Amino acid sequence: MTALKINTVVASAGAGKTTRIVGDIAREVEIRQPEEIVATTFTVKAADELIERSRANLFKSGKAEQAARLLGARFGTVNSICGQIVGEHAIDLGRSPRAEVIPEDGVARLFAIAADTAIEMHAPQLNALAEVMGFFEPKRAGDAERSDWRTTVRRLIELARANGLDAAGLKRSADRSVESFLALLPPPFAGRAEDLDKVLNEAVAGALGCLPPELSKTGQPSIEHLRRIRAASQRGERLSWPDWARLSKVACAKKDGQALTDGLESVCRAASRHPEHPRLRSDCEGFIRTIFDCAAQALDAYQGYKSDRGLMDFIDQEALALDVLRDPAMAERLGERIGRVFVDEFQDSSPLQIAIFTAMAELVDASTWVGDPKQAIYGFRNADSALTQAAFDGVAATATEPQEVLATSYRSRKGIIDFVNAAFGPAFTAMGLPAADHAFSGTARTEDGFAHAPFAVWWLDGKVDLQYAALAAGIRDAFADGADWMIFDKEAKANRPLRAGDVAVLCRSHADILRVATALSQLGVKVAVERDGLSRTPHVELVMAAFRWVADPTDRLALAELARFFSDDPKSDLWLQAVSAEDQDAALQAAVPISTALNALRESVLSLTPADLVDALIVLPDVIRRIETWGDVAARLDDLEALRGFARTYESSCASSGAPATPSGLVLALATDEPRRPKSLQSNAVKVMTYHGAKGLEWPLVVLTGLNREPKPRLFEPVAEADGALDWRDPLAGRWIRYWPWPYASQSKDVGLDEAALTSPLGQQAALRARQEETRLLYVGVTRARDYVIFAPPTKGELKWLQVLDGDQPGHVALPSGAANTLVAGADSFPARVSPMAVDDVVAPSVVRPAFVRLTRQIRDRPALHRRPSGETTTDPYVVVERVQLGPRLPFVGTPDMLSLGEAVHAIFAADRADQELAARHQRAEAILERWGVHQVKAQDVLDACDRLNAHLTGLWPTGRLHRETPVFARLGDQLVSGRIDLLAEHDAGFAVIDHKSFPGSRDTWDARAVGYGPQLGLYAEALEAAATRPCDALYIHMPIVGALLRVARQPGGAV
Amino acid sequence: MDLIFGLACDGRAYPDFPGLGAGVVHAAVVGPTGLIDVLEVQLGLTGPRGAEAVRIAAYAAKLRAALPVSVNPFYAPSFARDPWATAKALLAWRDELIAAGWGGGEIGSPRIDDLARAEAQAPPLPPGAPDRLRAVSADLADRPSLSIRSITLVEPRDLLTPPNRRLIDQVEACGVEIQAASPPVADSGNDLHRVQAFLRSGETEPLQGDGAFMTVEADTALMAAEALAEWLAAGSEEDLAGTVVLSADGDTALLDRALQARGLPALGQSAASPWRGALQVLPLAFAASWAPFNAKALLDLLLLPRPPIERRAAGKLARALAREPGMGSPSWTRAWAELEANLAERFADHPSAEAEIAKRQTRWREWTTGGLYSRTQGMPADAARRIAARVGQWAVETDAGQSDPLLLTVAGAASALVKAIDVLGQDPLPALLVERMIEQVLAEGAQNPEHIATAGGLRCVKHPAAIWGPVDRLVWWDFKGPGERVPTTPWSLAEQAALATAGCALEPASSTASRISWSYANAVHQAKDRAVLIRPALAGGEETVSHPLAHQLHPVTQEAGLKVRWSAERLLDDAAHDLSGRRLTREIAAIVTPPQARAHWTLPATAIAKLAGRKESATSFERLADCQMRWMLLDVLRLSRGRFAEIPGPDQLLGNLAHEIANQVLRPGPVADAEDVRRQVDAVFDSLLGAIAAPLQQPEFAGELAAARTRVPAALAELARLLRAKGLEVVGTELDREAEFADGLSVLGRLDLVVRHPTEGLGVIDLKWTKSAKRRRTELAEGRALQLATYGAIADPGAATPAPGAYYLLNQRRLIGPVGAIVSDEEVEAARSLADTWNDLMGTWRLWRDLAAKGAALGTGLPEASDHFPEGLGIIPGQEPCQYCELTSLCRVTQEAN
Ligand code: SF4
Repeated sequence: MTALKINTVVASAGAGKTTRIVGDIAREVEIRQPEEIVATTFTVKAADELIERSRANLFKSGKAEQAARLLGARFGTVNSICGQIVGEHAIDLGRSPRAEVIPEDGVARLFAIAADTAIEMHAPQLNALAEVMGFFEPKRAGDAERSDWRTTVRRLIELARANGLDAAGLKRSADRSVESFLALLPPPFAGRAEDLDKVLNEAVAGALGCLPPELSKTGQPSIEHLRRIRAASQRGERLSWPDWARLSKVACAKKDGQALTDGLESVCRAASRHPEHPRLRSDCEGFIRTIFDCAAQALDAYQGYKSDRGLMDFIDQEALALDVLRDPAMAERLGERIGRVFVDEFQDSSPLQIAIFTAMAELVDASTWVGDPKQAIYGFRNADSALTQAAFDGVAATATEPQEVLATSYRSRKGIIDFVNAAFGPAFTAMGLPAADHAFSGTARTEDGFAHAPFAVWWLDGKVDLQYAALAAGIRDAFADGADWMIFDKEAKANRPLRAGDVAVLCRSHADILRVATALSQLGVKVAVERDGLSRTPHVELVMAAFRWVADPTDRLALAELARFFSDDPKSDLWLQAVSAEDQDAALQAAVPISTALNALRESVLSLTPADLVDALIVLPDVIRRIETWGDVAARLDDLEALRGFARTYESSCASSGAPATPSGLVLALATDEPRRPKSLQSNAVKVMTYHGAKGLEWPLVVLTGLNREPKPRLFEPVAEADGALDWRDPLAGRWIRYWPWPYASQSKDVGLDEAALTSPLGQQAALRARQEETRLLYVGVTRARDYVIFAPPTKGELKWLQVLDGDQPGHVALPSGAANTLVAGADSFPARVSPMAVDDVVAPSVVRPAFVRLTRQIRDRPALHRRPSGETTTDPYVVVERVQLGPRLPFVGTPDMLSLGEAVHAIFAADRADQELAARHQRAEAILERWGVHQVKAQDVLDACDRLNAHLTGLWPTGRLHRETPVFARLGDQLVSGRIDLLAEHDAGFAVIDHKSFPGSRDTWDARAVGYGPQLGLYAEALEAAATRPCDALYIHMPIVGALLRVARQPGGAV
Repeated sequence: MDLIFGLACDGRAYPDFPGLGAGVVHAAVVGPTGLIDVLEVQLGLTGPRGAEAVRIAAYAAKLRAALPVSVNPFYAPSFARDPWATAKALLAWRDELIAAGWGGGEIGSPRIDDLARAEAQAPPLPPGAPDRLRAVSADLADRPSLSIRSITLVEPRDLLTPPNRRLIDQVEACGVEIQAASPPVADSGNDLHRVQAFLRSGETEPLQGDGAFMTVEADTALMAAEALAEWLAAGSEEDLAGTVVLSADGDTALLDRALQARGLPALGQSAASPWRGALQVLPLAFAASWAPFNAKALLDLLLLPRPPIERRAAGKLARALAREPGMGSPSWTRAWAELEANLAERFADHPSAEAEIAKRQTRWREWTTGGLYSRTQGMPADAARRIAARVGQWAVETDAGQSDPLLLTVAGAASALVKAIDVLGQDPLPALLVERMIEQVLAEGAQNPEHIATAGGLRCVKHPAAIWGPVDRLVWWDFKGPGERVPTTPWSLAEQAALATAGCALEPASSTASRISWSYANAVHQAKDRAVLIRPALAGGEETVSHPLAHQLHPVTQEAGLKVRWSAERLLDDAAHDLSGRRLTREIAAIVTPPQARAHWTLPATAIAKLAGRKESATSFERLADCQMRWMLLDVLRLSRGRFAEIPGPDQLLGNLAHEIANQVLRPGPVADAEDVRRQVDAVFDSLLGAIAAPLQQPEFAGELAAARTRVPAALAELARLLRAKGLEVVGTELDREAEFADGLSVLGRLDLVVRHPTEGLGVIDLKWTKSAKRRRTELAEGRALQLATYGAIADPGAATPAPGAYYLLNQRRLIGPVGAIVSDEEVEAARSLADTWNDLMGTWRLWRDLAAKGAALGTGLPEASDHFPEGLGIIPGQEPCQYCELTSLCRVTQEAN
């Protein structure tokens, strides 16, 4: 093993790692080409901050050249950097060089298209098995894990690629999954499977035979169920496993009689043997194997499809980048360009990424990996915290320099730091992250100006929605009386009262986010939050209704919607009157004030792209004004901006799938993709987001919610497992995918498998992993806070999440309640402000903020800025005032393409120099004719024509000068004219313009043709006069093909 | 002639032209292309220009020809996968090498020699920019006299790209005077000048916040446009002159609409996009020609504002296609028959009627039922040419001599495609290749012809180096990153060395970076009075990143903080604002509440009138029973949802398909044996699939279709078995029945399957394709099986009592009906018999209709609706009627809070 030049830096939360990397980069640009630097970060925003600070730092220290060159360095997310590497080597990789990233929304569709054969082939079997495993039963919120098996196939493929597994690896994974899954089940029934069925069938029949005349309410569902089961079995259908499980739980009331009670009991007895049913084993085994088979086949098809088209998803970018790094020739070329690598947030690397970083480390002079094992929270996104931790330790063990630890917080107040050390210490130590290396050593913050301790506990009372209403009220009150919550303003470098923008509320689920956001908006508090439902907001609906009607005038529903949106009375029934009218279409159009504008827009729809049309509608003055009158405008504009973005994404997804982009397609895409509403980036809004989303960020005040959430191991979905000891130098070794199907649909408890899975060794590991990840996530949450942490738990129920900190001592961290006001973490206690929060069951009317809008201004009809001579028309007619026959018609044999002939002759006139040797002139003219493919004309004939023209013009202006192809520009009024004059004669009295026109017509048509060009020449004349303040007194049309020179002039003034 | 030459000065530059006068002659501002143009004209080197697509096609042909004469050329695997994109990428490499001085021959470096071998093959490559440069350069070597007096360089000479630097050297050798542009005069006094001084020297002097230098931050591009438009509108018309907007993004459509709404001139930068409506005709025409048939593509074509076939014919075919998407469905055939009849009528008295009719029909058929080709095997080159030619013809005809630039672009693209197909010389053409070629021909220059700059003093440039002289007021629009990229060269150090030896010098990345940095600073340096930099935080929902110039300015702006930072959203909060020397005034918008949900509506007399003479159907009853408003709007007032919304979704298509198959295999009379039925289903499955449910053939429905292939035959076989077991005979399928009842109730229905029992008479079976049996079971159990009740009631208008009915759930293969019915297999204990259900339904209908006749309509999905229910409703509306309703947006029942 060669010693790699890697140094690792463990940087605790807020300990200034970016400053550290920026400093390193400033040193690096002194000793190497700045372009050689590679810096990977976790998000685009982090990359942006890093490059901005690095370059600003260089500019500030006068290293402008290095700063400029840093633009050529590679700063970005792991994906973008890998994508760049793959793009540069696409042809070496034998792929299409397009190297396009598939938009996140497009993956599912693309997969379906690419993998259709594999899906089609395995669908019959998987559908059949999925049916008996209850996959098609209606889903309830509780069993979200169960998904369409196609999604599982996709996830298997994703995991396979993220863990470097090929078809053989999937086969191995199938074996391991089957083996470990079957081990969860009790030994199979020794007899025949049919016997178990028979016993159950008989029990069902028996129970149905002893129904009392009047069935109790308790008994009804059970009997109903039995009936259905019996009918199905009479039809010869197989009983599904969820049904087996349900039958093991049937019951009735006492008053239904002993007979039925006994009957149902024997049903239960017979049904509860499902875990040992041989067919359960074979069904599950069959399902696992088939789905892995399908995945293996689909994997090849999907990869091939993308490779043909040069498409990549995120994992492809990484996997292919690793291919580049592992290929000697490609790696060598890459090695010429990269010399120094920085990896930020190393703890969240996937095995594939670790392999990439390691391979890069072999290629470059030095690598720095910065991270914090305590903040590894992306297990669900293929990150492997155990492996990253092993890598950290491994590097530290082999490195010559000691591992650096950044342990001073520049972020949080002392109380927070102390609490974190006390609360998380034991759990982290148990995880192999000893306090000696991982506790904060202190903080650079001072306590000056803070009257209150950094902690508060807000107990939320009542039903869920009321809890959130109470929380929202608490937040509003906190910054309404900001003086009670003084915070330190980083920018102003002084303390000041709390404001809305200082607050972040962290949530565990998107549903919670929505609740918090809704509760806050209800109180008129601005929130910055990403949430579902973009297409259900009234402003987006308004724009899309207009869009639909423009795209499809038969969509009268859209018109009716518009009629509603445009009435001032929210309950107006004008729309209904219009819908009811005899001429519905006309009436609806009349009821929609923008229908005329929309009709006009429809006329130009052929010139617009779908995204353009969205833009055009949003900024239609009446549309935007209508939306403005609804108040809270900034938030609405955020949504509309997202709609614009969606439209553009739609167009680019069409590009990658080769499909046309049409308005109808956009409408459809909006309905199927259900895009989200973006978060506002305004500084004066309360931020609401998930704990994961808070990674890398900080706020003066952080509210922690979801403290009652229980850690849940991921058991019945595909997960990557690793065998044996972890070797970070070979991160993809020994990896396999475990997939245990859940055959009981919504029957999630008391089926045997649930317990068995949880207590199995793999299940125990998964549970441990889950607990550890939850610990780290909580750490991330607490350490986001600069000045205050508010715990916001519900009053009822256990705070399961805090229990992950317990270790062997329950109640390690306890929140104060009642009169107590100390927060306890082990032996330490911390003062905290404790308040119960409750609101009454009244929904306050929401507060709407009106907006200031633009003044109505006169719309001016402005002509085009550029007056094009060729597009010039005038009402003043031109007349021919002089005709000169310069010579004969240009002779030609055959029929030349007139367009090319004209171009060629023009080119000869432009390039010919009468003062040159004839041979040279001739050669050039020949070459021009050749280039234009004109073989029907002799070069000499054209040159003769040139000479004749020259002679004539020299005769006209003996002392004048001729300029060929000379440019002219002028500002005429507030318009611009520009052009190139074929031939400009500059003489004592002014200018004359001569324009070559390759007109082949007969003599009687010359005049008409010549005067048609009058306006164009007239404009040149105008421009010349403006430009040179000299008159332009003559306009000529020269027709070289017919040998004529015609002078034209504007009629009213006679000859100019 | 005197030229100003700048690398970014092709296209719009500022000032408009050299000199300070109202115009200029013998002088121009040119970029690299413009300079080559001038030289070509003077040297007599002009020649025809080909579309880039034709160049790529030619290069692809060269690469293909070089395959056999090379040993494992490096590009072979990529070329095999995606010949077009590979040719395009390699052509770009080749062009760069040629521009840098490569002669096109072998130099002893394997990858470059692979390209050299391609270079030597036929067909000839139409000249591109580097070829033209090479030709000009060759001519200049003889030092011809040029009619150019001087060239003033915008960029410092050492920052020019090597090819341009060489060209300038050559031109200089011909006696042309080369000058450096005089640098803008450094002023001092305000923030802008302080910033300029900082950019020049790196020395910071604290900014004062005098407004001469401002960054405007907006949450969204929309708000950014609002802020800029307000700022411009706050100045006078005269102030527009000397104001330059720098818009690197290249498209100012959004901003221009905001400007025009205030009477300001439009900037008129339009991006070339292949997605403009007219251009889609080309990809759509092809999309409709691949198998499996893409009904939506054809529908899109037919519904274009100017469809490729007569609008009326297009409309008719579109309607048929939306209803039964496929080729050869009954609706489709009917539509054609009607069209033919119309034609016959129209040309009845025409002397050459036959020819006229045939001409139209051929054309319509070509567009709508041309051949379908396999995507992987490809379509014959000739077929592709024909499609392209047809599109070209459409464009020319639609244009009708108006010279609409966009339509001419379509015609040009179509003809470029034909040419590229010719040059490429490949036959057949796989779908991927065709799509790539189409994209290429469309990508070239399709800007919005209606989006132009309008008159006034305001100017717009695309590139910071396109500003070559002083600007009074600079507005940097869309001041966001990442800015111009420094490209990485594909060549290794060894290859670069070999190239250098061969006289081909590539530009090092550091020079590119310096030039880019220079251009950013240049724009700021050229500003005289003030500079406003506008950055949206979100652009299209994505967070933006900071501009490289912002990195550079960071040391000064960071320090100045809010003094030079202004948030556009403030416009929403106040009536007056001071921004960069101007006062922006706003007015408050009166608050209007957005439309609200409302349960109770008053119907106008015109609506009531439409109740007369109605015929109800099973579907309209279902709607009525759930929500009177929905029935009123969709059934009585016939509010249309538009064509696209009509295309059935996959589940419905599966249902339609199963129905039609049943219709074909269950013939009247005794029921065939199950196996027999299964065979028959298999025999008709595919043809019916293509005829009425073509969208299911799209690859993304492979899973559903695979399921249907096994389920539909099994379902109908099982149905046959059940019918036989029950001794039932088929009376007919898809039977239309009509019946009159008391109170003027008239009912019309199409019955899926009517059967007869030798002793018990008629029975009705309704076929359903559903994911779960639950809904229909519950309906029966609760006595809400309205469809069955309706069908039973009209099955035999002569009968005294309704016929018994059952649902056959195809997906689940279950025949469920009320206990004791002859058609029931799985019996459900019903709370209300079908006959009672029917009676109650009639009563319910009467109550709702009477309510409507009195002028009231109820949206029952809304909470307060139940207060207004008529007394004695036999059938109470369901729990959540809005869940599957298409009118929720109109009713405003689901509305996201802001
Ligand atoms: S949305 Fe609801 S209330 Fe409105 S018509 Fe539909 S079902 Fe009725």
